[in-house]
Amino acid sequence: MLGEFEYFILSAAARLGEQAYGAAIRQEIQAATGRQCSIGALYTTLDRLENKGLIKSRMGESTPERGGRAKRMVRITAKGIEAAETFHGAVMRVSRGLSWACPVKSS
Amino acid sequence: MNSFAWWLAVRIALLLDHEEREFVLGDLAESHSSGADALYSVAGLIVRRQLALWEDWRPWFALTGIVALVGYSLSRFFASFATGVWLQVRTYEKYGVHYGTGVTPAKDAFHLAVLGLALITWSWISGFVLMRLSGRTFWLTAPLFYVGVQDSFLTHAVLSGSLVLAHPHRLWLTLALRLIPLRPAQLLFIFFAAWGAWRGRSGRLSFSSGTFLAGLSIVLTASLFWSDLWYHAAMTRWSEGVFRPGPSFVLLLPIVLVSWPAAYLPFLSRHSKAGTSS
Repeated sequence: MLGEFEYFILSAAARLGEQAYGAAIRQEIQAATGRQCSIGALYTTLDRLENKGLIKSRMGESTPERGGRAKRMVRITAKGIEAAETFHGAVMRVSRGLSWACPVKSS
Repeated sequence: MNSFAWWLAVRIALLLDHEEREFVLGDLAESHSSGADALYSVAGLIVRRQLALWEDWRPWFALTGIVALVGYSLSRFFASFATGVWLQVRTYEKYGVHYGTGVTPAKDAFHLAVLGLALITWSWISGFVLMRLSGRTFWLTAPLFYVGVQDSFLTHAVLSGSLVLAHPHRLWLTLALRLIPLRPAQLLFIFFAAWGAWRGRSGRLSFSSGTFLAGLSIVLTASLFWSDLWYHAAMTRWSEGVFRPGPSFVLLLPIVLVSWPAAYLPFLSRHSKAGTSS
């Protein structure tokens, strides 16, 4: 079973697709959760996910805005998609019938 | 301040792997992080990486087996070497005679030569094994080992009351000053331990070399134990029976503790041959 932060990373990587790399994933998580995502937590969790075979990463291109430094490009694997689906399913099942599981209404 | 913090972040990022350093510094630059943020982020990642290294058993083994056990025992033998050489030189220089206990100058020379060779061998082997076991925690275990070898025997002697300093209130200053590598015995230790660590880092040690070093260490250890017995007999004679050496296993224990990494050498070299070393 995934941890909450692992699920956030997999979801962000899946949403970003070909553009999934360290800084973009971090930004995506911060925007979605409203919480700070530390580089340390991000990179150690990416390693863990890669060791579990849930993602694959490679060295991407460098850009001037990165000071000529390379990106860590991330791609979610089939096993990663399965793990994310399992986690999401569990969250949905455990939340069934609860008031906070209803769609948020803007007031 | 901002540029200084960035400069510092880039410098401490050198503790990360090359690829990871590129990724992390690139991400921070792209997200226009402030110097303080960059420094905090890089330091946080380094701390996490370092803590993760301690999930392995080997750094703990290095810390207890080499830093604590070998460190203390080596400290004791280095103190004995430094004191022994100094006393012999002074006695011969001042009196030109030898005390009448049955220990001859030839035996003295033999004992000091064996002790010197044993210290060189133990230092090299300890440096090698410490590096192989510590891996990337070496930056922490190596200074601790150095402090242990320089200071632990003196600290134990003072705290146990068997040695009284002329200025007891300056114990910490005395211990700190002893860390400055000025004495010949210290330089001997640093040179050979650093050489061993350097070889350990490159991982190059053939099985035959490992076995040879282990064998040499055993021969020196046995010779040292044997020549130590002359001094115990001499002390018994000189004190007219007041001094009584402890049981053999008590005399043997420090020698066994200081030389155990030698037994580990063939195992390590066989692993590096099989390409399984990390």
